[in-house]
Amino acid sequence: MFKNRFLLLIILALMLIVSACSDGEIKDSGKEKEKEGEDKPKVEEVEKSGGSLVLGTTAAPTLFNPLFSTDTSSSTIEGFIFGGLVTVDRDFNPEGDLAESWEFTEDGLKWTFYLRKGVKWHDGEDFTADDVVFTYGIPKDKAYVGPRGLPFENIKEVNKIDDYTVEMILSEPYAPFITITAQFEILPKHILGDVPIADLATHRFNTKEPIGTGPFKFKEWKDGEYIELVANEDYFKGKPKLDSIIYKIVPDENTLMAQLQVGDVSMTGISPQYVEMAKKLESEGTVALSTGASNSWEYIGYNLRNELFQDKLVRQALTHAIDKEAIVQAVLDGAGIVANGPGSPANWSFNPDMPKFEYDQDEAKKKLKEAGWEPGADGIMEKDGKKFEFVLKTTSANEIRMQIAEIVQQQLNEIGIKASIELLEWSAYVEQTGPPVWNFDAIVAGWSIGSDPDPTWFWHTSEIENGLNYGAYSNEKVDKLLSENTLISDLEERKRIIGEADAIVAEDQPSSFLYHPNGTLATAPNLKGPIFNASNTYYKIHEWYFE
Amino acid sequence: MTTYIVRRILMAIPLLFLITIISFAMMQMAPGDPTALMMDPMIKKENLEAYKEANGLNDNVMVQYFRWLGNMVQGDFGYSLIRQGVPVSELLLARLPNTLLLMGVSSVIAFLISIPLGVISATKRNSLTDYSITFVSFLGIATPNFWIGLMLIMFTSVHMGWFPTGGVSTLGSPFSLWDRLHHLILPAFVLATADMAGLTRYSRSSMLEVLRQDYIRTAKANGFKNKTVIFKHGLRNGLIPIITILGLMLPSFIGGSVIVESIFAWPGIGLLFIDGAFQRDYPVIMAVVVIAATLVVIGNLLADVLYAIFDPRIEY
Amino acid sequence: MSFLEQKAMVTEPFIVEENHNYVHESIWRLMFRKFMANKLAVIGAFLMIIIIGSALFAPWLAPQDPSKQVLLDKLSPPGEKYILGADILGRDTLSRLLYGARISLLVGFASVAGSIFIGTAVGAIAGYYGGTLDAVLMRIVDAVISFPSLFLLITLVTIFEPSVFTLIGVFAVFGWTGTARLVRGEFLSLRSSEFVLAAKTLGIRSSRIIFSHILPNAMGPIIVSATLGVGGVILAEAALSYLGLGIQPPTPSWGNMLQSAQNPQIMLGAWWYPLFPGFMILITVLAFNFIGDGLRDAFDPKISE
Repeated sequence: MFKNRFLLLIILALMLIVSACSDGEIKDSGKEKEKEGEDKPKVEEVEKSGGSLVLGTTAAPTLFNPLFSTDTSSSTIEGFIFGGLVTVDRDFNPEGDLAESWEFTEDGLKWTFYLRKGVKWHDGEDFTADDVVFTYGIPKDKAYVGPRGLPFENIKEVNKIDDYTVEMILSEPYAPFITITAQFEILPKHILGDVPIADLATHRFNTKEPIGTGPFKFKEWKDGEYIELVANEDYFKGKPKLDSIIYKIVPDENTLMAQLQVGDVSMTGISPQYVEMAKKLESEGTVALSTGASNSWEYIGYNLRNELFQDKLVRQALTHAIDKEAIVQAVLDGAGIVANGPGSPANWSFNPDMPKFEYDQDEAKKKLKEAGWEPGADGIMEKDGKKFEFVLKTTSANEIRMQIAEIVQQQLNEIGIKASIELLEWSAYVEQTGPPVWNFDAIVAGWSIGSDPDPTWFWHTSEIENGLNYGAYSNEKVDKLLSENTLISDLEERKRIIGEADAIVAEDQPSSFLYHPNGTLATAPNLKGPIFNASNTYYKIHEWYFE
Repeated sequence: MTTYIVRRILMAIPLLFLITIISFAMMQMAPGDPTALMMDPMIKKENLEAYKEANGLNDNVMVQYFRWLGNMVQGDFGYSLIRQGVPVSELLLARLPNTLLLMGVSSVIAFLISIPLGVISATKRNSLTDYSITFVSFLGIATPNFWIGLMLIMFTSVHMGWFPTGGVSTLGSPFSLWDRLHHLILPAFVLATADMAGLTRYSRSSMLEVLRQDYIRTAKANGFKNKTVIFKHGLRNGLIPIITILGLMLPSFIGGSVIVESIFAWPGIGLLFIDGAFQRDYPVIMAVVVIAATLVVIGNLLADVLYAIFDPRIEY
Repeated sequence: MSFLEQKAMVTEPFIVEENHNYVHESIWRLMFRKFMANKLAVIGAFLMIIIIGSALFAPWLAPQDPSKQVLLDKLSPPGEKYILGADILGRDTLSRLLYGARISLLVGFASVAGSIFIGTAVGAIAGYYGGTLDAVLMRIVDAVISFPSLFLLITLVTIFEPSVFTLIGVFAVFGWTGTARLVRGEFLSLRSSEFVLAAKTLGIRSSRIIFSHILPNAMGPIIVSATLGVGGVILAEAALSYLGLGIQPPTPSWGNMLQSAQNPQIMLGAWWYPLFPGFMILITVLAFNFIGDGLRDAFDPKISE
C-alpha cells in the first residue's frame, strides 16, 4: 500500500489557520487576465513603482529547505526562493515551472521532464538536470531522516537523459505524482552536493544562505522580526515587479489586525473572528478583501474505538442534533457553507450530492431510540445502564473551535447527551489526539486538502495505525475505492470514484461534518495581483505590483 | 568594601547552580521526551532511536544534567529542536539586547514617573493629591498589562496615529535614533505600568521616613526653603533605599516582557520563550529560563553593590 | 540585621505572656481603629464583602443560566433582556460574571492558602532552627524567587495542562517565597526572645512553641502578604488567559471572559463585552490591595494614627 503522509504537518498547521486558500472563481481569473492585458503598455511605469510587499503572519518560519521544513510559513517562503519542476495554477491545474513541459507513458510509470534552459541559480550558476537528479535523490538516501521521505517512495529511478531532460520511473502509477511529488522545490547541487545527507537538516544553507531559482532572493532573516527577500532580476519568467518581499512576524493576532489597519502590513489572511472588522476596513477603503471557499472542512470527529460511537445510527443522530447553519451564522458570521460530507466545494473532486443529516432534534432522538438509547431519570440518554457521556476535546489555540465546542455541548445537551469540554494547548492537543495515543472521545477539528484531493489519508483503514485517520474509521468499500483512486489518471473517472467514496463516508458519518469555511485575504488596496484561491495563493507573484 | 563585593559575588554562585537544577528538573517533569513532537509519525523507529542516542537522550539523568551544565557554562545552549541547526545561543544573542533595551527604558520611565509622584505624595501627605496619586498607582497595579497594551495600540496607534503598532523599527528605513525611540515608548510604558505603582508607594514611604529625620527638621528650622530641603537633603537620602527596589523589580520586568513583547511584536527573549513554550522547544525554554533567572541574580547583586557604595552609613 | 528583623523586634513587646489577654485585645482594637481610619481600606473591605457575597450567592443572584446560549442574541448590548449584555455565544454576561467570580476567587484564595501554608512551614523551620538548615532553605528561596514567575507559570502550565487544580497548584508552588522570608524573619527575632527561651528551658516541645507562641505573633505580616497575594493571583490568571493558558472555557473566569473579548472587532463594536470582566478584575484587585495596605498600616506599630 502506498503511503503518503508527508502532508501531515502542513495539514496540521493548516488546521489552525483557516488559511487563505480557496478556489478563485472563474469570473475573477478572467478579470485578472483582462487587467494584465491592459497593464502591459504601462510596464515601465509599474516597474518604477516597485515597492515592497509586506506579508503579515503570526507564525515564524523554521528553515528554508523543502525537504526538511514542515510548517506553512517556511513553505510559503520556500515558494518564493525556490522553484519546482511544476507548480499549480489557481485551479489546481499543473503548470510548468522549472520544467517547460513533461510527458508520461500510458501506464503512468515513466515521466519525462524537459527543463527550461538558461535558468540561473541566485549565485549565477546554471540550473541543469544534475540539480533535479540530486534533489530527488536526497529523500531516497538511507541517511535521510527528514519528514518528506514518503512522497518519493514510489520513485524507482531518476535518470538524467541530457543536461535538460530528466526521466523518472515509478514503481506503480500514482495520480498525485505531478501535483505533489513534482512540485517539490529543486535544491542546488553545486552548493549542497558535497554535504553528507545526514548533515543537510542542520546545514547553514537552510537558515543563512538559501540559494534558489525562484523570483525572490534571500537577503536577511531578522530573528523574530522579519525575513527579507529581494527581487531576482534574472528570474526566468521575468524580473519581478515588486522590489522586495518582507515576511513580517507579528505574534499577536490583535496586533496584526492593527498593523493591517494602519498599513504596516500589505497582505494577510483573515481569521473568521476578524472578518467583520476586515469588512469594515474595506468599506473605509483601508484594505481590499477577496474571499472564497477554502479547500477544507471542519468537523466533530468521533473516536470509533469508543463503544459509544460505533453505531452508525448514533453518529447520524449526533449530526441531526447539531444546528450547523446556526454555527455558521453565529461563529463565522455566515462566512462558510454547511458541510454534509468530506471534501470541499473549492476542489474539483467535490461531490455536491452526499447524504444529508439535517438539524432535527426529533429525528435525532428517534435514531437514538432505534439504537437502544432511552432517556434516563436525569434526562441523560442511557443504554444498558450506561450513560451517554463523553469528553469533547479541542485546542485553545483556535478560538473558533472553542466556540464550536461550547455550542455543540449545549445542542447535544438538548437531546440528552452530556459532553464535557476539554481544551488543550496546541502541542498537547497534537500529542494526545494523534497516533499512537488517540486519547479522545470526540474532537472539534478541521482538515485541509492539499493540491491533490486524494482522500486516502483521512479514511483508508491502512491510515489508522500511523496516519491521519485518527477516528479509526474503516469501511471495506471505501478502502477499495480509495486504493483505486490514485491509480487513475483520467480526471473525470477519478472524480467519480472519489465522489462515490465521499458519499459512503458521508452516510457513515465517522464525524459530524460541520462546514466548509470561507477564506479571506486582505490586501493593501493598491496591491494588484493577489486573488483569494484555494490552490495557489501566491500564483504569479512576480507579476504583482503596487499601483 | 571590596571583600563585601567579592563575598556577595561568591554567594551568587551556588544560587546560579540551584537555578540550573530547578530548570533542568522542570524539563524532566515534562511528559514524554522531546522527540515526541519534533518527529513525524512517519519517521522510522530506528531513526528516532539513532537520534536519541546521538543526542544523549538515553543517558542517565545526572549525566545529561552535567553535560548540559558544562556546555552551558561554555556558552553552548544546544540546538533548537524546532529551528533545526540554529544554536540556541545565537537566538539568545539576537533577542537579549532587545529585551535589555526595553527593560532599561522601561525602568527609566518607571523612575521618572514614580519618584516625583512619590515625593509629591509624601510632602503633601493625606491631601487630596496624595489620595489621588495613591489611587492612580493602585489602578496601575490592578489593570492587566495586556489590556493596557491593546487599548494603547487601538487608541494611540491605530486611531490617533501617534505611535507605531509594534516592532523595533520601521521596516526598510535606515537606522535612526528617533525611530527606535518612537517604537520603544509604548511597550516600555506598558511594561513600566506594573511596577510604577509599587515604586510610587515605596518612594512615598521612603520619603516620609526621611522627612521625619532630625536633620531635615534642623534644616527647616534653620530657615532653608521647603523645596531646597526636600530636594537637596531629603531626596538624596530617600533615594538610596530605592536602588534596592531596582533589583526587586527585575523579575516582574522580565516576566512582564512575555506579554508586552507578544503584543508589540518586540523580538526579545520573552517572545522567544513563549514561542518555545508553545512548541515544546525544550533547549530554548531552559536557556531562556536560566538566562532570565541569571539576570535577576545579577540585578540583585548590582543593587546590593550600589547600595553599599552609595550608603555611607553601611560599613564593612 | 535586616529591615524585616528590625520590624519584628519592634512588634515583640505586645506578646508579653502574663498580660497576654489584655494587651492582645487592646492591640486588636487599636488595629481595627487604625484600619477603619484608612478610607481606602474601608472601601476595599466593603467591595470585598460585596464581591465575595455575590460569588457565594451566584445561583440566586444570576438572572440566567450562565451556560445557556442564545446564538441569535450574540453580542447583545446591555438592556432589559441582558442587564450587562450578552457574550459572543449569546450568554448572559452578568450571570457569567457572577459564576466567574466563584472561579476567580477560588483560584485566588486557594492558591494563596497553599502558598501561605508552604511559606509559613519553610519560614518557620528555617527561622526556628537556624543554622545550616536555614541557610539551605533560604538559598532555595533565593533561587525560586530569582525566576520571573510568569516564565515558571507558563512552563509548568504547558507541561501540566491548565485545569483549575493545576493552576492553583502552580500558583501555590511558586508564590510561597515571600511568605517564607517574612515568617523566617519573625521567627529569627522571636526565637531568642525571653519567653521562647523560657519555654525551651521548661522543656516545652518545639512544635508547641512554634504553633502556640511564635506563630500567632507572625500573623500580621502573613495576613498582609496573603491579602496582596490574592489580587496578584487574579491578575496572573488573567495574564495566562491572554496567552490561552488560564482557566479554560467553558468554565467562566474573569480572565478568560476578558480574553475572549480581546479582539479589535469586539472592542470597537461591543465595548461592554470586555468592559465588565475587566472592571471586575480591576475592582477586585484594587479592593485586595486597599485592604492589604490598610492592614499593613494597622499592624505596623511605628505608624501612628
